[in-house]
Amino acid sequence: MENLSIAEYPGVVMTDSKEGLREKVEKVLVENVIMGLTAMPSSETTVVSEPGPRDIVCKGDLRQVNEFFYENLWSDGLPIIPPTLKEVERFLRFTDRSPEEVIGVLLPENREATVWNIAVNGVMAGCRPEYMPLLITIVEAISDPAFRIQDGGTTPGWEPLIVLNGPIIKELDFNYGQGVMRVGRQANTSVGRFLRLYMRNVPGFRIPPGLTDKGSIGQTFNVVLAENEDTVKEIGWQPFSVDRGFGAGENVVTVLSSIFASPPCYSAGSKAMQHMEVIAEVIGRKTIAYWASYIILTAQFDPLLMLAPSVAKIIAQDGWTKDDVRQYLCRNVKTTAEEMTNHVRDFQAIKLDLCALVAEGRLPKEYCESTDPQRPLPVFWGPASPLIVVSGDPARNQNKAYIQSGYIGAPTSRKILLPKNWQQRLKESS
Amino acid sequence: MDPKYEVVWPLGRSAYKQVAMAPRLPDLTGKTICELSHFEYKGEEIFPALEDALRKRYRDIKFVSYEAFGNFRDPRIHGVELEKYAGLRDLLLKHECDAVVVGVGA
Repeated sequence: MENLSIAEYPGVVMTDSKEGLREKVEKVLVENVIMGLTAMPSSETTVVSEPGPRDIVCKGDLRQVNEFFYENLWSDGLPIIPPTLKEVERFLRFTDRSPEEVIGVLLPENREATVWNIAVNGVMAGCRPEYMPLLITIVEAISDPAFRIQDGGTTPGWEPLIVLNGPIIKELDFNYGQGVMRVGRQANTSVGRFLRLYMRNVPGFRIPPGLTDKGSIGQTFNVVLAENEDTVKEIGWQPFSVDRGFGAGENVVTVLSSIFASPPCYSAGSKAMQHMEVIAEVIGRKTIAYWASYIILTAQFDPLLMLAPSVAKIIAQDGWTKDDVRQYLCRNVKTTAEEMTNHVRDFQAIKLDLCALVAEGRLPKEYCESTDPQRPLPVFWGPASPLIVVSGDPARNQNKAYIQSGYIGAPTSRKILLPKNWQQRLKESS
Repeated sequence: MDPKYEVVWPLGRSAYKQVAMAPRLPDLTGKTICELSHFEYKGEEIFPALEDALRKRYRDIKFVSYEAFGNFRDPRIHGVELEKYAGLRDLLLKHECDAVVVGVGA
């Protein structure tokens, strides 16, 4: 609904006093509201003629093309590979799907996500053509209404995190070892960059001078997190793809929001409990607990715990399964009612009455076993939390967590559909 | 000589559906203003202050508080978030809303 009125509050509501807020409402906001309710916005709709997918929008050398894309807010500030017809066609050779196929319509700009524009942005991001099946699957995941791509511009500034499983990890040379989350390997890096570039260009999330990305500070794109399936198999665990409902050995993409990462968490010892206690303290109580406070309003929270291969081995050696890890964290990671209510107050100016929410049936009874503000409350929601992936430096004992944004960017998984003659096409490309 | 590139557009076709806006109110005298809130960002201070400010300007203006509708993000009230609720229009008509103010975004 074009030109729907927004009445702007003059200033930062969260830092204004009660008196200051009232004054601003009385002097400024009320006028903005009245204008919005009584004055029809301009009825002149400027019809902008937009190019067709194969239209040439710019002819120039590398620098000219990059300047043009940057001025039009189509690039992320880094050099792009010019998306020529020839380059796009190279990507299309790695899918059997029609270039015109519409994967979804992505808010907030309401633009069609198509196989064609996935290829265009894949070229720009520096992906290889053979990444195309993965790129399509990633866009399928973010097009799922459950992912809520329309919330991609919220102030916490979350960034999508792509988790990859399956033989495609090795086929396309994804890093799943030391430096797994650092730029440097083309597969992990360019695919991560692709998603952020795609979120700019099709859903339309752009920081200023753009309008719709309101991440207050934001963060930059995450490289793809590929699981170390060799270690997972060795220790008798199932890969993350199985946790997500797929078969072991299937190529699966999961995309979830990541608001922030935990500190690197070193845990040591030859017994599982030695590691679990540290993980519960550093990753659980000192990191995830902070964001769990906000999530209780929507009862959805899927933080991701990345265990170092060496740590996962020790834990599994002691007979622990992933569910045992989750149950331990659920029992032993607590926050207090006071911390929870304070955090939610500071983030959203919501006065949490946990006992009232219990009385309404919106929270479980354990949230109001007393009114003591220091009473311990759970941080993890439900039996499937946290998500667990094994990856990272096999030579060190460093774990990490990625804190997810609840109902926004919920983990969404899709199987990667490969084209016919995939292996042959891969051989030909190399 | 630097190579020249002929490049295509990275965006997607707009699937924007034009929806006609309801006519604006000529003035707010005697009108019923409904409030929708997700109970965040000091809505519990802003909405009452807004009501007071509007009452000073418009005779007989009425309000239906956001409390009557609950948190518009909470899917437990109507099975889905309020913006997806098929009965939203009827709900607003039931409360005789002449206009709706939705807030508070941040």
